[in-house]
Amino acid sequence: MKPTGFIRKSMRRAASLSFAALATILSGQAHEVQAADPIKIGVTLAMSPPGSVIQGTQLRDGLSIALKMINDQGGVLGRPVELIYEDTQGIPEKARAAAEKLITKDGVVAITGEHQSSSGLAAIEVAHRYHIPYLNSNAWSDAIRSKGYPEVFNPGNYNTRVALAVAEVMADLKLKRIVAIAEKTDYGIGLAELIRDLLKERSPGTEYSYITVDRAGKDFLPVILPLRANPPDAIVQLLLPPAAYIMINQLHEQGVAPSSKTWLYEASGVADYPDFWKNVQDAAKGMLTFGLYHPEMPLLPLGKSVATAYQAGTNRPLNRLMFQGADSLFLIVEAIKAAGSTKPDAMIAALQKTEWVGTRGTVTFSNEKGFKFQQWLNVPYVTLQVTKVNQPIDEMQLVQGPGKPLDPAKLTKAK
Amino acid sequence: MDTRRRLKLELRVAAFLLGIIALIPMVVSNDYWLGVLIVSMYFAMVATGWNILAGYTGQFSFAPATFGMLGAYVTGLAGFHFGLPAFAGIPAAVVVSAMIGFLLGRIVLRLHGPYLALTTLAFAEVVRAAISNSMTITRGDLGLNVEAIPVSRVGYYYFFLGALLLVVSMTFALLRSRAGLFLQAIRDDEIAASSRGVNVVTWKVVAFTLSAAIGGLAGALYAHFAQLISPELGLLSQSGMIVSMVVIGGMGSLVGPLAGAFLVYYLSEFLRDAGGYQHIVFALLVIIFARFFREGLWGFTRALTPVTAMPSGTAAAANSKSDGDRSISTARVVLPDASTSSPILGVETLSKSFGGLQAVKSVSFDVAEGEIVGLIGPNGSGKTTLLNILSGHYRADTGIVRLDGQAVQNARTNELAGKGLLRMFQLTRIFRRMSAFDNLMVAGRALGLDEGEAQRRANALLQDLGLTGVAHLDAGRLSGGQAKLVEFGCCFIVPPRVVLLDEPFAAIHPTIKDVMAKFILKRNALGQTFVIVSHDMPIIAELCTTAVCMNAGEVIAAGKTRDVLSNPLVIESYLGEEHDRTTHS
Amino acid sequence: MLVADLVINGLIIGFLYALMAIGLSLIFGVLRIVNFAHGEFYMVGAYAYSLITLSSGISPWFALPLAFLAGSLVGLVSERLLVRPLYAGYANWGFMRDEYAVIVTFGLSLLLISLADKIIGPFSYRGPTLLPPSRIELGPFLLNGNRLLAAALGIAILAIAVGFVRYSYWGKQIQAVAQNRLGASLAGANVNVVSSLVFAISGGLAALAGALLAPFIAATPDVGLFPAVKSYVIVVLGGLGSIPGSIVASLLLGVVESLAAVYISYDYRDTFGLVVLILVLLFRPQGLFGQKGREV
Repeated sequence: MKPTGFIRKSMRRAASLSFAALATILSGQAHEVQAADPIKIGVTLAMSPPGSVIQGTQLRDGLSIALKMINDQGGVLGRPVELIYEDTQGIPEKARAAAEKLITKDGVVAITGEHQSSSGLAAIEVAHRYHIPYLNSNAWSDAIRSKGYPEVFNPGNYNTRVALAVAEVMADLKLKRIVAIAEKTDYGIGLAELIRDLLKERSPGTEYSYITVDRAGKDFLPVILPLRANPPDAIVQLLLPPAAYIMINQLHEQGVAPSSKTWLYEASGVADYPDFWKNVQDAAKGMLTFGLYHPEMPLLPLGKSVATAYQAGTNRPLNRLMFQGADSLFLIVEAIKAAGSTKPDAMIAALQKTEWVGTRGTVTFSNEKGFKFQQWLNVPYVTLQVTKVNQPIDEMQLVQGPGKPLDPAKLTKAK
Repeated sequence: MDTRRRLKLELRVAAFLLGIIALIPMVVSNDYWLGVLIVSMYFAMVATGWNILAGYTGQFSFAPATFGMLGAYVTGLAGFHFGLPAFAGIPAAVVVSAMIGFLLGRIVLRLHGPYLALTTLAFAEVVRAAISNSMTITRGDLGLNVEAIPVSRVGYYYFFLGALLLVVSMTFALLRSRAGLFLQAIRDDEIAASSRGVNVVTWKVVAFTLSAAIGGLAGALYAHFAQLISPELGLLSQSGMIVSMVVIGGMGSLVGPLAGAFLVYYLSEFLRDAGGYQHIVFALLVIIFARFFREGLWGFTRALTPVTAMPSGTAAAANSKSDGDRSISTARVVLPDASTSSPILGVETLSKSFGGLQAVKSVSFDVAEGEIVGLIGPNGSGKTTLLNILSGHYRADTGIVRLDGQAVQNARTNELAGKGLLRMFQLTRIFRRMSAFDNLMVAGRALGLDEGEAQRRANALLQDLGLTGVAHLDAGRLSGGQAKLVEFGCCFIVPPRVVLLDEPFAAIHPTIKDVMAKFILKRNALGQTFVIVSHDMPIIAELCTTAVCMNAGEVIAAGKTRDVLSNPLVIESYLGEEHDRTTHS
Repeated sequence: MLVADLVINGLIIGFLYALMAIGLSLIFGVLRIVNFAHGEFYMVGAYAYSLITLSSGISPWFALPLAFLAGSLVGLVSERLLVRPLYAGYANWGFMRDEYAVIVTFGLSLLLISLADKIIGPFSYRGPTLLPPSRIELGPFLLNGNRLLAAALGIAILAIAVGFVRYSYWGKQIQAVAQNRLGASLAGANVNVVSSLVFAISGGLAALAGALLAPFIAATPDVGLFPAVKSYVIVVLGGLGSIPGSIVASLLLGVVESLAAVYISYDYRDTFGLVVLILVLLFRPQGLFGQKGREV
């Protein structure tokens, strides 16, 4: 027996109703967009291991300070700004999914926050595909720049800058044999290879090699013991925490570096992380480190107000990532302001023309191809030496000031 | 419920679920939620594959995600290094994963339970470590970029749905065939399965291979969808997630993995914005389901179907009083002619020792066709060991066993069953999660009957043994006596040449004992041969024409039952135990 | 001298592996289950030791027994809530008897990791060393004092644990239950107490391993993963349930990894043990020291 027309119709209606209900459940909070709606900006960070959570936290601190300052002044285009955070765990696959979620589900107008190169490389593909501006806060790999994507802007540090700093120090110290220990990522390998290339130019006689290790590694003795048997003049540390801490401790434990024979150059900039001294004690004494912030660097007015807000909220010492996080968000908001809209093309055009006085200097983006593409070239940096346990960054020995050459007289060799 | 009936219901529910999924893109156009559903379909496929292996075959592998990862890397690497397009890469991924699954299946063949779980876990870690450390080939943890298939998001959606449909219907076809019975028999009791004639080695490897192929297919599709793959795909936690999806949905059912995958993955995405509680919620769900709802969501529906009251052992036995001559018509009639023909079963100087203990010492005897032989002897005299050698569970150190004149001491248990040598165990071995009817079907199908014939004979046997009332209950719910009868019945679904019965009458109700004894005599009258191990002397005396008595691994007496029982050596060997026996029986 | 250095360091690591693995082996021996949350007992110990010393400033020597207690407590609670139903009603479990333990302990592992992440946070905490940093020169070898001390303590704890199981009253009960659960309960052994005890000891030992290694490997929520995977390899290699087997396999693994990482490949160091395991199982499915059970 066939159902009558009425029954068939009501069945169909019931089916479509339950279907609509299902669709609503599936699409979550699907209905949006009203006039006073906030402008959404996506943030991808490592908030849990194996990513570098410390970096994620410091960037997040800076981003929320900037957010508060912006919204206190009435937001932008009369709309408040809202940040939507996604945890990448420093895993490329998760970063890709996070970027896609932010763009397709949350409808963000830009993405920022990234601080791990492998994740950044994965996410910029998504940003490029959907044509959404991407402010790379702190992923150093040159590959992110040399892809040449117009959506990607880099106000943070870059590998070539660090590699140059390391190569110059090594050349100035006239070292003969150098070993770098790098994490097996785009960041680590990229940096290790750049140092090799730059050393070849600056100090052709120097013998240089690098070892790659797993960033989730816990025991590096198999790498360290052969170095103890045949100690080099310097070891360059290119791991991120927590692997960096384990490596520094184990190098010290085995008496390899810093020692009377071997310098330890820490090139990942970990010495200003709040958990640095919780994890590394005596092992850091005598270590050279690359720094992107030091009190001798001049802070601009915006930098000073960010610093004040940070220190009012926490009693932790100032650090570079916090400034970089704040810079990233300010840059996006400046671009929206200049473009007068959140349309990608307008924002990208505005960003390309940026000349904005930030926390630590005037940010502009180069349009040279290669690793300089859409990069703020003049990121200030310093070289420091740790001389005491539990030393805050502003008390560390400044051996190379911003924009100045290395001062060997200020160096102390470990006993 | 019977496998077939349950499966049909499951297919309907699965089809309904897939139907809903097919309609979703008409109301949801958001790329993100479509993406979530696409990834759910990836998990549903891998989970379905793992369910064939773990849920149906009982091989708890800890490497489901590994095959997804392998599939993804095969097509990814083929594209990256050799420019192979997706339409060639995806089949290649299926083939390579299946081959690796086949090898893994061969390697872990002899491992069970925790050893299997831990070894597959080790395998998973080796593969992941190899991929993540071979930087130059795979780009390691940096992840490998994979070419997209040039279709829209909705295009991908239906692509995945098509693959999922294929996987589900293939799984259904597999389970509906005799393979479904065999796989579940292996899950419930591997040793019993081989005794009923199931080729355990082959079917286990089939399960591993299929499960891997499905994982490979899912992974390859995922690679082209995600366009970036990393060794994270094969993390233990990913495998754990797949296992949990199946557990939450319901292990060993067609619907379970589908429901579990969509629910768990959707939930975890839904909770993403809720402040990182999704892992805690997920962990609690796994624990709560494992602890309180072991049959998963699908188990709820099973719990709703009424269970027929279980008749007691005696009631079932009483039914058996009704005549059951119908089954006889199917049996081959061979008249006993013991005096002239060569023996059906010949044992020549058989020996077996375990470490220092010589359990069987140079045992020789012949069993003539149509005889009922009682194998007696005190505890520890080597009777069960001898039976284990005869049924192919143990290899003899030396000696020859002949079945119908053919040397079979190196044959495998299932081959012997195929030749008509069947066996019943001292401790009941049945397939607990299959119905009594399906228990018989396993034996029938494994011994070469077609489906209709096996069904007909199974029903006739159930009636003969008085089990019709409980035929469709899970065998695990039967009473001890009923379970024994089911196992007993499995020996007769195809007329056997020789049946070995190890303590068939121990610890069962007298009426069931009676059913069995009568059945043995009836079958014997048709020419079937029996070897019965028992301590029950009255029944040995009643049933057996000849007897063999063992003590300390040696045959101490053989011949007419009456003579053996009155042999002074036999009486002496039992004396030490006499007191023991009377108190126990 | 590199070889000798590597062997010594391999042995030191091996003893700490052993401390981890025997707890797992003990649980298997008595309850016939593999505890997939074993690594999280280690994690509890590492956090207990590091957080207690860092926050209260008490001597790390006092934190060691506290870490043991914390691990035992977690072990005890897990046993009572999740494992006991398994054997309390074992006979009635028609469904998922073998899978239950795997799945429920896997869920427990996930729960403990995510709780640690939520409550303590994802940052790493490195525990203080027991002695001031020192290096001991033994002839041509240079040994790190704290590593050596950790290994020595590991050996002492192993000896106590093995002695306890062998000779004490409760140890004998454990052995009885391990041999025959039903028989032991008929003979008057308190099977429930023995099971709780085994979980408590196992949790405590894993936690102690975590505490002893906390100065070298800082505590993070997922720090238990690597010792857990090592322990699985060790117990299968040594034969599930065999304590001497676990100890030998631990030392073997420590030395093999240490040497192979330098002479074969550092990248694949974690796979050597796994490959050895798969090879051993091909030829001896019961492990190096395991006993083959009667199947039929």
